[in-house]
Parts: sequence; C-alpha cells; structure tokens
Amino acid sequence: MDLLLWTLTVPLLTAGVGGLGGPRAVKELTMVGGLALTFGLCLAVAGQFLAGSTPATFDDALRVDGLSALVLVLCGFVGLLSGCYGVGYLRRNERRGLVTPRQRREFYGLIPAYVFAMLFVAMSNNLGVLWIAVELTTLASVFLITFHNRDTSLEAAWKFLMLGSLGLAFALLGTVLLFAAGQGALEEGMSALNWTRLVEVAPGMHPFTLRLGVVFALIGYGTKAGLAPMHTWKPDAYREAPSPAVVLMAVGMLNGAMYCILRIHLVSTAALGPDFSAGLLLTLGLLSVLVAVPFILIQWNLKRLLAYSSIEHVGIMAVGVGLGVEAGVFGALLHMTYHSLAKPVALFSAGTLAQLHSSSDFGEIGGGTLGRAPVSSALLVLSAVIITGSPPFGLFFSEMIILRAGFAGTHAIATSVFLAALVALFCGIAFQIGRVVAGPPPAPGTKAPDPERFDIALATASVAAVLAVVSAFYLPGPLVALIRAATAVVWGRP
Amino acid sequence: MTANVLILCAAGMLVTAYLMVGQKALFTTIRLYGLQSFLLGLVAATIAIAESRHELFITAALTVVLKAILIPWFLMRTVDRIGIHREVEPFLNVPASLLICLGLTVVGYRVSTAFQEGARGVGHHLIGVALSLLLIGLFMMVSRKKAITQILALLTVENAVFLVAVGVTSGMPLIVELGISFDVILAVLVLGVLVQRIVGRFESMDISRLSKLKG
Amino acid sequence: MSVEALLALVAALLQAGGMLAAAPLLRTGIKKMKARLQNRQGPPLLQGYYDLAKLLGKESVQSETASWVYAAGPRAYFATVVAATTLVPVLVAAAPLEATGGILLLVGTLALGRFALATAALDTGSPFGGMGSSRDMTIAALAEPALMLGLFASALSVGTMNLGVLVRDLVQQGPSWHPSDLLAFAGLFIIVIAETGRIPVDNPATHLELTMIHEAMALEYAGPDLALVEWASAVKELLYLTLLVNLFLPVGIATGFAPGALLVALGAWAGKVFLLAVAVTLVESTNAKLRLFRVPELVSVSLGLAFLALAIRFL
Repeated sequence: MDLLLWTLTVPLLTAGVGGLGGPRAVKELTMVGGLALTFGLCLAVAGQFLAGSTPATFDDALRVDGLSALVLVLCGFVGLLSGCYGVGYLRRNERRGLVTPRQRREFYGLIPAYVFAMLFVAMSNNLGVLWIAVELTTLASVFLITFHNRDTSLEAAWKFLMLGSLGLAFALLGTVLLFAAGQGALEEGMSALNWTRLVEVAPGMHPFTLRLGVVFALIGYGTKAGLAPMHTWKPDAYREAPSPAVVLMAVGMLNGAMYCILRIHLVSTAALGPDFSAGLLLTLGLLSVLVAVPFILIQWNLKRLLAYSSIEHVGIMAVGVGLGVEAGVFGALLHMTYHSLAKPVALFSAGTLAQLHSSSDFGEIGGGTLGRAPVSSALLVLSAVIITGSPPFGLFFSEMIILRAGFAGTHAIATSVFLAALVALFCGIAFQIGRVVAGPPPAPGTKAPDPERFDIALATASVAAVLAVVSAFYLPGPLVALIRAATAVVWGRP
Repeated sequence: MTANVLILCAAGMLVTAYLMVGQKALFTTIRLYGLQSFLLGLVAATIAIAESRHELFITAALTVVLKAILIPWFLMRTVDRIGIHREVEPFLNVPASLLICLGLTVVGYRVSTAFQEGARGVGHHLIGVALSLLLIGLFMMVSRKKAITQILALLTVENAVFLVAVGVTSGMPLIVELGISFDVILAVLVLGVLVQRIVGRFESMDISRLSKLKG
Repeated sequence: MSVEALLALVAALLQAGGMLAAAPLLRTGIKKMKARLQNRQGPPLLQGYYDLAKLLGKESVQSETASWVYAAGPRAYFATVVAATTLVPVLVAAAPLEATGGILLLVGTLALGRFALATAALDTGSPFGGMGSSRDMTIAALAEPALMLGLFASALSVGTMNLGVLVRDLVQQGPSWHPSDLLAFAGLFIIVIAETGRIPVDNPATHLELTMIHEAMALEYAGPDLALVEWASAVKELLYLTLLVNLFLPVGIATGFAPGALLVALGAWAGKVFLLAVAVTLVESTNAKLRLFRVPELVSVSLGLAFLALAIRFL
C-alpha cells in the first residue's frame, strides 16, 4: 500500500482500537505507539519528498508537496506529543475518579481520530477533499470539547460547532465558486478540483466569480484558523477541552487551517495577482493581533489567555503572508514551525496547573504557583518567554523576519501598528503569567491543590520544552529544507 | 419548459425561506425545510434530465432522501423527544424580519448579475435566489434563539450553497458531492446529540442562555 | 344602448348567476373533504343549497335598537360581491363588465362590501358584532394592500390593470414563468385564506366567542339576512379562487364563445378550482388556528411576499 495511505490508516486504526473497550494499559500503549508510528510515517513521507519525488495517490487528490510535507511533519509531531501527554492527563483524572468508561473510550478514540483528520487536511490536494477533511476535524473535536460535561462545555461546543459549520458552509461556497470560475478550462471528474489544475487554469478564470470565491473561502477557513473577527469560538473551546485536545487544536488545527488559507491564496495569486488575497490576509491578520491585545489584558482564565495568544500567532502568520513579499512568507512558515514547537509547552504546563487546581480560572488557581508546582510553573514561564517572541528563541527570529520584510516593503504603517500590538501583547502576557506564577499565594485555609508529581505528562512537557529551546539554536537541516520548499510553493515556484 | 420548472422550484425555495422567517411553529419550520430541500432535489433532477447528466440524478436522490426526509425526520424526533414544540422566539418581530429579508433578497439579486451565468435568464434567477437564500439563512441564524432553529438556519445556508453549485457549475465531481452529503448528515447528527445534551442540562433549548463564557 | 353593451349585460347576468349557483357547492365541498380527512362522513354535497333554502324561507328577526344600517348591511354586502363577479374573467378570457374598470375597481368593490357588513355589525351595539368588525378590519388593513400588490405583480407581467385584458394577454403569451408569479401566488393564497375566514386565521366551523371573526359579524343576523351574508361569503371565496387560477394558471380558458371551447373551459375551471380547494382543505386540516395577535404576522408574510413579487420584476 501507498505510504500516504499508511500515514492515514495508522491513526485511524489507532482511533478504532482506542474507541473500543479494553484494558487501560493496552489503550495507552496503542495510542502512544500508533501516534509514534504516525509521526514516523509523516517523517518518511517528508523524506520521500526531500529525496526528490512527490508522493501522490488517488488521481492526485492526495499529494504531498513542500507545504504539505511541512504541515504533515508538524501535525505528526504534535499528535505524538499530545498522545503522550494525554495518557498522563487521563491517568491523573482517573486517580481522582473523574473518568467514566465511556469518557475513556471517547478520549482514546477521538484524539487519534482528530490527528487523522488533520493529516488528511495536510495532504489533500483537492478542494473538495480538503473541505471534507476540515469538516472531519470539526466533528472529531466537538465531543472532545464536551469531554468534561460541564454547562460551560456544552456552551463552548455549541458555539464551536455553529461557528465552525457556518465557516465550513462559507468555505464550501468558496470552493463551488472557485470551481465555477475555472469551469470552462477544467475537465470533468474529480481531478478538476485539484489545486495543481486550478493554478494552471487560474489566469483564464472569470474574475468576479473568483474574487467572491476567494473571499468566501478565506472567511470560511479563517474561521477554522481563528482569525478575527471569526475567532470567538476559540477561547471557549480552549477553556473547556482537555489540554491534549487543546494542543491539537492550537497547533495541528491551526496549521491545517493555515494550510487551507495558503492554498486559496495560491490560486488567487495565480489568477488575480498577489494583491487581492494578500490584502485580505493582511487585514484579517492585523485585526487578529489587535483583537488579542485587550482580551489578554483583562483575561480571567489561563487557557483562554493561551487561546488569545493563539489568535495572535495565527494573525502574525497571516500578516507575514499578507505582506506579499517572499521574506514575509518565509517568516510566516518559520513562525508556524517555531509556534508548533513552543505552544505545546505552554498548553501542557497550563493544563497541568489547571488539573492540579481543578480549574483554569485565575481566581481558582491563585498566585504563587511556583511554590506549589515548581516544574510546571517554570515551564509556563519559559514557554511564555518563548511565545511572546523574546530573544534568543525562535519566534523572535521569525517575527523579526516578518517585521523587516514589512518595513522594507510598502506596508510600513501596517507594520508599525503590528509592532506596537506585539509589544503590547508581550507586556500583557508577561503580566498575566507573572501574576499566576509569582503573585501572592492564596490565603491559608483555601482548598489545597493536588501536589505536582513527575509523571508521563510532565515528562512530555519537559521534553517538549527542551526541543523548543534547542530549536532556537539548531534547526535540523531537513526541516529547514522543508520550510524553504514550502516557501517556494507558496511563492509560486513549486 | 425546463427553464420554467427550474424557475418555479427556485422561487418555491425562496417562498419557503420567507415562510420560515414569517412563522414560529417549530414543526412547520422543519416541514418547510423539508419542502425546500425537496425543491432543491427537483432542481437537480430537472437539470439532470434536460442536460442528460446522469450523475446529477444521484445528487438529486441524495438530496431528497437525506435532506427532505431523513434530516427533517431526525429533527422532528429530536423535538418530540425533548418535548418542546412551542413557538420559536426570534429577537426581532416578524414584520421587521421580513423587511430585512426583502432587502437581503434585493442584494442577492443584484449581486447575481455580476456572475458570468447570472446576467439574465434562468441562471439569473437560480443564482439570485441562491444568494438571497444564503443571506436569509445567515439572518435567521443571528435572529433566532432556539437551538433547532439555528440548525435549520445552518441547513438553509447549506441548501443555498448547493443551489449555487447547481446554478453556476455543471455539477461538482460526484465523489466530492457524496463526501459532502455524508459530512452534512454527520454534522446534523452531532448537532442533534448536542441539542439533546443541552436540553437535558438546561431544560431549555434557548441558546441565549448559553452566555456564561465571555471575555 | 348599443349591442355590445347589451351583450355585456347579458354575459354579466349569466356569469353572476353561474357564480351564485356554484358557490354553495364549493363551501360544502371543502367541508366534505375536510370531514373525509378526519374520517368522518361529512355533509351531503348539496347541503349548502338546503341551508340557504331553509334560511331564505324563514322570517327575518331584527333587534329593537337596530337602524336601517343593520338592514342594509347584508344587502349591500351581497350586491357588491355579485357586482365583483362581473369584473373577473371566469370561463372566457374576458370579464363581462371589464370596460368599467380593473384591479382597483375590484378591490374597491369588495372593500365597500366589507365596510357595509362591518358597520352593520356595529349597529346593534352587541359586543360580538363590534369585536368581529374590529378584528375583520384589523386583518383587512393588512390584507388589502397585499391583495393589491399581488395583483399588481401579475399585472406587471403584461402591463395592464384590466383583468380581462390581462388574462387575454396571458393566454396569448402562453406559460412563461417568472419567480414573481410564484411569490405573488403564495402571497395571494395566504390572503385568500385570511379573507375567507379559514384556519389558521379564522375557524368557519365554530362560534367560539374568543376566536371568531367573520362569524361574530354575522351573529346578529337570522333568516334571509343571514342567507345573504353566507351566500355572499361563499361567492367571494369562489371569486378569489377563480382569480388565482385564471391569473397564475391560464390554461384551458376559452378565447371565444364557441360551445366546445366553453365546455372545455368549464371543465378546466372546475378542475383548477377543485385543486385549489384541495389545497385550502389541506391547509385547514394540517394547521392549528393562530392566536389572534399572531394573525397580522401571517398576513404581513403575504404582504412581504407580494411586495417581493413586485420588486423582483425589476431585479
């Protein structure tokens, strides 16, 4: 069987096994093993691509070029991380007697299923298949959001599903319109919706239909990415979903949605020149970064804080692409890579703190966690330093590349606003995280949190932290090659 | 003849949308949605016959079976099971909603003229109706409180997208269409389960009660 | 008096007579179909005629406080409805008295009849009469503009307000449908439901004091006066249905006076009216009566549809 198909089958099988009954150890082993194997297969696919071939199957409906390979590797990576952390996460909850057998089945079934859907997104070369894959990610994640079965989780799931479905309806409309715009030149059959075909026939497309299609598709997939003003589901979903699922959402889904946006951007650029979709992306990106500022400053919940940070980062990527210069695109993709390495650390440590205190609200956690959960707090501080783009870590470099590209180009004013927002966000996150970690501890007599224990979840977080730090100084050569290849794809030199 | 049937069906879909906006009984709204989907299936079948494109028959059959029969049945069963069939409470009263929908229809029709196929003739009406339906669906989504009506608004938007697909393209590739239909039914199932959970928890499906999460 | 005018008068008499003769059958027919849908036997098809004969044979009873307005009401109502039948093409693509006016005259004549009945119902000072009048007028205030807009929308397809000319042109043009037609039809259908006092607007089968509209106005009347009111209402219903089928489904209408064509036209007309009557029955059987303050909402839907029908012609 084809390597691409294996890459999809393995997580699907893992989900199937996890969704059935069975002893806990078997499930844990299957999930970690399955996701590790999946990551390995993703690496193999990327290796095949770097070796010069372009893995493809099903009439090119699934096809891996530079961009796909990069997203695939990143998604496989966070899938594995989240699987390992998830095992520890569920064990902690089970120790406290919070997990029903049904919840256990849901958890071990849906996490690999979510990973499967994300990988499916990343390797689809076909507009229609892409839409289906994105819808699958939505459906896989709904019941992860309702996992804890609280009032608020139903609310979050409802918002997520309504907004997501509406976004997907828009994306479908965009897909239909893109197809309609190129209809004269496209042949019958499935391959008519392939990106590769659409880009070829793009110059002859009907401009109005195409424009409308691009707008709808960008809004639609932008909803999934969490670009403002379609971001409102994000904070709620992040607060309610269990942390391993949040990691998949914040990194895997975000990368996948960004992948969709970049593909639409590609077709639009080929047909209408770079300005149209780039302008839209710049606007949406800037708006996202700006929206995050006030909400981070007034934030009352640790996981929601990280959700707004996610909105900020997807905004940064959109701005990078929207600048319309090659350096900006490179910066955006580098940002995606570094973000994928750094964000899990933040979410893992925040998740651990939330679990120990049975809530992620600042009011419940109280200040001074450094004394109660030193490892997680230290990791939280470290990750906050990284995700706010402080030197010498990776996100600092990628943001600098985007800023330089912006000031060198024609968008000096937009870039200045962008820079100001970044500085404000840095202060906001530093303030909030500082309050949690070093603030005054809660008065004695309040309910004592569980003690921090070194388990597999904490180990995963530590390993992720080490990787995030090391990546600042050393990125493996093949990864850099992938980023360069992806830049070439987005810049229209496949 | 083909043109007449297509225009009639499209106009019928628009009428059902207005009736959905204009009345408040939950069951009637669901039935109207079924009728709308049935008309959509009829549009697809008519085109399939007129242009002898046989794969469109499958689309038509899928639309009728899934959206005109299965989904309405499932929604009615959900409503029955949770035992709340009383009225839909919109945020806006009916005349104001209708006035807004009139404006939206005008906008939809104006935009449709910019399409290659939409300048005049059947395409003009198909695309015009589809865009109007899209806008009306979006409006229903923001103006209704009940969970089921929000689902119906979403499904109306979905119907509108399909009508656009029929109106401006010669049909999406079949396998893609199958996948999309499958996903839609899955989404409705998930939504239905979620509604049941919400009702079980809040003893109401008034989603304006879901407003704890802010900031 | 010229020959044409004489002919027109004869035609008008024939058409009015025919409509008067057919109307009770329509009402009973709908009752019967409704009963069948509810697994009941229902009245015999001629029950409408029996009722009218019985009422006409009784003596008229009048309240002491009633003035001449009370007595004039049913007569004026009956007269206006009969007059209105001569303005609408039924079997032939021409209205007998089409030279006198078109859509506006038709709507105006019907409004006059409504005014007469509503004032008459107020005259005795009975609380039910006043309630019925006020309710009827509330609905009419919305329904009348909707009726006019709907008719205008269909007039726009040809460019004339004269119903005779309109139907003639439609027949000549052959079927060419526009979304506007269906929208106008849907709007007018709701108006027909509202104007003829059918469920979900009014329930013709009960005298429940809280809900009745039309029945409340006729409550004071007995004997021949009641017969006139009921008969006129039946004719009005038939008139609306005829108008709908001839404007929106102009099939089988005779263009001359050849006996064969007339016979076909009669069959076609009866068939189309029957289909519409089935639709009315279905609506009556599948819907619950709306609360009174919801009725204006329903009528406003028809107003919206009719307006859209008009607007969409220009888009």
